[in-house]
Amino acid sequence: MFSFKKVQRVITEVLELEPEEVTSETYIMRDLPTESIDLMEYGVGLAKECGISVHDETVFIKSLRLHMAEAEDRGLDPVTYLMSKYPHLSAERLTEMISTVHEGPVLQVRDIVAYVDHAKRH
Amino acid sequence: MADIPIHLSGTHACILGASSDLGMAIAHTLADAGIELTLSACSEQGINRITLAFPAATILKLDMKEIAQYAMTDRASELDGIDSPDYLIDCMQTDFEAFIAGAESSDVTSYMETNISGRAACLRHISRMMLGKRFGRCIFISSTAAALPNAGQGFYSASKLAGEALYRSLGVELGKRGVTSCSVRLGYVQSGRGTDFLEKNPQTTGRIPMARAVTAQEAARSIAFLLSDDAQMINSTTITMDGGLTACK
Repeated sequence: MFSFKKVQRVITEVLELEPEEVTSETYIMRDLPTESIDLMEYGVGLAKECGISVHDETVFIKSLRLHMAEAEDRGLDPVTYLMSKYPHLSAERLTEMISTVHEGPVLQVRDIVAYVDHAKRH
Repeated sequence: MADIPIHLSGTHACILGASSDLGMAIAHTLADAGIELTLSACSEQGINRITLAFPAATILKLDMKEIAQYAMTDRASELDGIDSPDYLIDCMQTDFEAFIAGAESSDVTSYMETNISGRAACLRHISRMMLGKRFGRCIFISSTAAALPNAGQGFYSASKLAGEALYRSLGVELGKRGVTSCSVRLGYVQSGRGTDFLEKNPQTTGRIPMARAVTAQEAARSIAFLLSDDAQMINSTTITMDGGLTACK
C-alpha cells in the first residue's frame, strides 16, 4: 500500500490527475493519457520518490512483445522466459499479460508497484 | 551607459570541462552572480586549477570515456556526484587533430567514445534530473568548425555536430517540460588552444570582419545571457558567435 501511494502520487503529479483516477488496476497506456515522454517522467519520479534505481525498459515492460517473440523463436516456455526478463512480476501475472496482450498495452499500476517493491528488496 | 540586468531563476549550474579558459570564465561570471557551481575536469591538473579558483564549488573528476563504458553496463559512475543542476554548460572537449584517412583507428574510437558517447551519457543523466523538477537550461559549446572544418578537424567537427544534434533534440523533447537547450558555435577564441593557434597563425584574424578573436569574457557573458530566463525561447537551435567569420566567402 505504501508503494502504491508513491506510484499513484508520481503518476497523478505528472498527468495532473486526482488520486481516485489512478487505482491499482488502472492500465497505464489504455486508461490514462500517458505519452512516451510521460513514461520517462514516471521513471524519473519513481527514482526520486522511492529512492530506487529505475530501468525504464523493465518497469514499463517496453519489450514485452519482443521477448514473447524471442521465447517462441527459441522454443522456450514464454512465462519462464519473461520471468527472467521481469523478475518483479509473478508467473500468474505474466500468464495474464500473455493472454490479454492482444487487447492492447497490458501495463497496470500494480505492475509498477511490484517493480518498486522488488527494487527495494534487492 | 544603460545597464539591462539579466535574470536567472535557477541557483545551481554544472559546467563540464570547467578547467578550460572558457569554462573558467563562465564559472567566474556565474559565481559573481551568486550561482552555486558544480565543476568538472578530466585531469588532475584541471581539477587543481578549478579547486584553487573556486574553493566553494563542488568539484568532480569526470572521465567521459569511463562514463560511456559505465553506461554500457548500467553501472553507477562519477555522474552520481552531480546534484540536480538548473543549468548545464558543456565545454567538455578533448583535443585530437588528424586526417580522416591518417588517424589511428583506436584513437578514432576512443575520441568518439569520449566526445560523443560520454557526452550523451552525461546529458541523459543530467536532463533526467532536470525533468524531475521541470526546469533546466542546457548550453553546448560548439565551434564554427562543426560546419567549416579545416583539414585535420574532421573528427572534432563530427563530435561537435553530434553534440549539437543531442542538445537540439533535448530541447525538442523536453521543451514542454521546462528543459530547454541551445548550442553556441564559437569562432576563434582568445583562450586556451585558441590562443596558441592565433599566436602561430596571426593572419587568421584578418579573415574576421571584426578583425579580432572573441574573448573568453565576451563568450562567458553571452552564455550567461543564454542561460537567463529571457533567453529560454532560444531553444533547440544553434547560435554563431564568430565576429562574422563564417559569413564571409
